[in-house]
Amino acid sequence: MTALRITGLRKSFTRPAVDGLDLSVARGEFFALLGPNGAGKTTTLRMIAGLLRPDSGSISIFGIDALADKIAAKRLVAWLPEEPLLYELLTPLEYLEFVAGLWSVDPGIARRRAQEFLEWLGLWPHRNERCAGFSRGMRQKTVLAGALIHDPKLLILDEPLTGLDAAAARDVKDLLSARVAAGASIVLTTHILEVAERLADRIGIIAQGRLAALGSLADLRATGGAGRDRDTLEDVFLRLVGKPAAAAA
Amino acid sequence: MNDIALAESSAPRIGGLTTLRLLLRHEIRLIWRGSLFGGRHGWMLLIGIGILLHAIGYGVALGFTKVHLAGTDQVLGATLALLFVGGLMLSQAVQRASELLDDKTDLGWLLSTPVPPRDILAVRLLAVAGAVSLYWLLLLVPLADGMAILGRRDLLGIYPMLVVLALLGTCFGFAVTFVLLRLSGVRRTRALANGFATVIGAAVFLGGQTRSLLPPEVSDRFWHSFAPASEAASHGAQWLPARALMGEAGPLLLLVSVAVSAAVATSWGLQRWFAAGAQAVVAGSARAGRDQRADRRVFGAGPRRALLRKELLLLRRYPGLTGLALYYTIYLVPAIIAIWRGAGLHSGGPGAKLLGAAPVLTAGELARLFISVTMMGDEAAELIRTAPVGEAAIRMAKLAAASCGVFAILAIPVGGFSLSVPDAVPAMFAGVLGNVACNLQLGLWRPAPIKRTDLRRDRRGWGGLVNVVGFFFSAAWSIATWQMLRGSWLAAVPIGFAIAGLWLCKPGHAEEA
Repeated sequence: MTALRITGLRKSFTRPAVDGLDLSVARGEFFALLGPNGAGKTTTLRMIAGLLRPDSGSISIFGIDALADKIAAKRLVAWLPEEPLLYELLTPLEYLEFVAGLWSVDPGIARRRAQEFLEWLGLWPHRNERCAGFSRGMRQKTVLAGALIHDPKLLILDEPLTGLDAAAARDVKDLLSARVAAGASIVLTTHILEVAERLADRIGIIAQGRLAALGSLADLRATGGAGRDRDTLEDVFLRLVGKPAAAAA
Repeated sequence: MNDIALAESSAPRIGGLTTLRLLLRHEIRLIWRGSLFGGRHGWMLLIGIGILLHAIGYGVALGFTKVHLAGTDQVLGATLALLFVGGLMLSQAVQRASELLDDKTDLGWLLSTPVPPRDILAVRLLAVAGAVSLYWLLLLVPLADGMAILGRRDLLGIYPMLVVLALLGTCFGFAVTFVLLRLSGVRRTRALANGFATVIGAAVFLGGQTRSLLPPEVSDRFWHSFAPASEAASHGAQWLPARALMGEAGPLLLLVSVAVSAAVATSWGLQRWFAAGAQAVVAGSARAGRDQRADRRVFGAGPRRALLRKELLLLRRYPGLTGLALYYTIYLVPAIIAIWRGAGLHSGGPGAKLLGAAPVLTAGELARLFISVTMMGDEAAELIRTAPVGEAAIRMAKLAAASCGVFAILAIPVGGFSLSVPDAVPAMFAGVLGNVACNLQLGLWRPAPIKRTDLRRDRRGWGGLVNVVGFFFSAAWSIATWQMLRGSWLAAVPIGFAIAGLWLCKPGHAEEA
C-alpha cells in the first residue's frame, strides 16, 4: 500500500520552490529526500504536514486526500521540524501528554508510551524539569518523542539529527529504524548523507524544486554509467546536483 | 610583520564609537521594522500621526494659556509632573531591563562577537531608554510644540528632560536588575523586578490621582505644603529639574551631563555582571526548575481539553503575568472613585449603578493582555497546526483560557457589585461581554507584543499600537455601559465606533497567508 503519493505538486513564493514534484513512498519504507540548500525539501515536507497549501497538485496519505480531508490525513502523520518546537514552560512529560491529547490518544496509553520513549532517549530523569533549561539535543529528543507518541503511520522528519551528539544521533537512528520495522513509513531530509546511505530504502534527490533522481543507492550509482558502482552517495549527489558553488551560480 | 598582524593593524578598531553606532543602528532597525511604522508607507503614517497629534497638542496648549500660575506654583507643578513621568518611566525601565533576561537570541550571538560587553550593554540601555521615552514623547512633544508656537519657547526643555528622565530611569532599572540577578538568579530576578516595577508604577499612578482619591481641598493643601516658600527659595538644588524643564540653560546642561555620565558609568560598571548574567540566560542554566507536583497528570484525552489545559497552564506559568495583570487593574481604582464622587454615590445618591461602567474598562484591558500572552507565548504553534484539530478549536481554546483569566480576576468585584446593585447587572454584563469579545478578537488578529522578543514574532507588525487601539475599544464600551445605565440610546454610538474600529483591524488576505 502506498503511504504517500504526491502528484504534480507546485508551490511558488517569489520564485518556484517546488515545481511539479511527483513522488510515492510505500508503507514501511524509509525514504530520504536530499538536495542542496533552497532546493525545496522543507517546502515539500511542510505541504505534506499540512502547514502550507500547494498552488497545485495533490497529496494522498494512505489513500486519504490530504488537501480535501486535512484532519483525517493529519491523524496519520507526525512532523518533526528542523527547529524543535517546544513549550519552554512545560516539562517533557507534560509536553508528551499534551501532544497525545491533540491526537486523542488514551491517557493511560500516552503515559506508558511517554515513559517508554523518555527512558529510551535518556530523558526520564528530567521528566519533571521545565524544557527551558534543556540543551539542543534534549529538546530534539523531546520533540521526537512527541512525534512518536501517537504512533503515526507516516513520519515527516526535517533534519532530525541536527545538533545531536553521536550518542543521541545513534539513539534517534535506532528509534527510527525500529519504527520502520514496525510498519511505519518515514520521509526524511538530511544534509548528513551517511544517514541516508545507511538507513534509506530509497533516495530522492531534488534540485530547484524538481526531482533530479530517484531510486535505491544502487540505482543512483547506476545513473553514472559503468564503473561507478563503488561511488558513495556523496559522489552521486555531487554529480547530480553539482557542487554547491556551481549550484549557486 | 606577519599577514595576520598586518590585517589587524589595518582593520577598524572593534569597540568605541564606530561599534556603538553600528549596534545602535541594528537595534533601531529591529525596533522600527517591528513597529507599526516599519511597513512600506511607514514614514507617511508617522508624519500623518505627527500632524494629528500636533493639532490636538495645539488645542490643549490653547487651553493652558488661560491658566495663570505664580512662579513658585509653576516650579512645584513642573516638579510634580517630572516626578510623575519619571516614576512611571522608572517602572517601565525596570520592567524592560528584566526582559533582557528572556532574550536568548541575538544577545548570545552578540556576546560571542569581539564587541566589548559594555558596548552591547550601552546600546541595550539606549534602546530601553528610547522605548521608555517614546510614548511620553508622542504625548508631550505636541503639547510642548503647541506651547512654543503660543510663545512659551522655554517649555521646549521638555525634549531634553524626557531624555534625561529616560536615561536616569533606565540606568537605575539596569542597576536594580543586575544586582538582583547577582543575588538571586535569573528566575527570581524576573519575578522580583516585575513586582518592583509594579509597586513603583502603582504608587506613582495612585499618587497622581490624589485629586480623585481625596477631596480636592485636602489634595491641594497636601501638595502645596511642598511648594517653595518664595521665588528665591525656588532656586534651590531640589528645584533644578523643574527649572531645566522650563528651559533654563544652566540646570538643563547640568542634568543632561549627569544623565549621560550615569549612562556611561552604568555601561562601564555593570558590563561584567551583564556578561555573566547574559551567559546564564543564554545557557538557561538557572531556569530548569522542577515541577513540584511531579508525575501529576495534566492533560487528558481529547484535543479540545488538551488545548485548553495547555493554554491555562502556560498562562499560569507565564513570567510576570501577575504584575502585568496588576498593572491593568490598578487603573480601575481612581476610575471607580472618580465615578463614585462624580455620581454623588457617597451620599447615597441614585446613581450607584453608574459604577457598573468601571469593570468594563478593566475587563477589556485584561482580555487583551491574556489573549496576547496566549498568542505570543505559543512557541509551538506550528506543531498544533499539524495536529488533527481544526483552526476553530485552537482559537476557541485561546479565547476560553483568556476569558477564564479575566473572569477569575473580576468575579469577586463584579459579583459583589451585582448583589448590591441588581439594577445595573444587565448593562454591566453586556458591557463586560462586549468589551471582552472586542479585545479578544483584536488580540487574535493583532496580538500585542508583551516583551522585546515578541516584536520579532509579531508578523502583523502593529507593535505596541495595538494597546492604544484596544484601549479605545475599552473606553468606548465603558462609555456605552455608562449610557446604558443612564437608559440613553446614545450607548449605540460608542458601540458602533468600537465595532467599526475592530472591523478595520481585521488582517487582509495577504497578511493571513
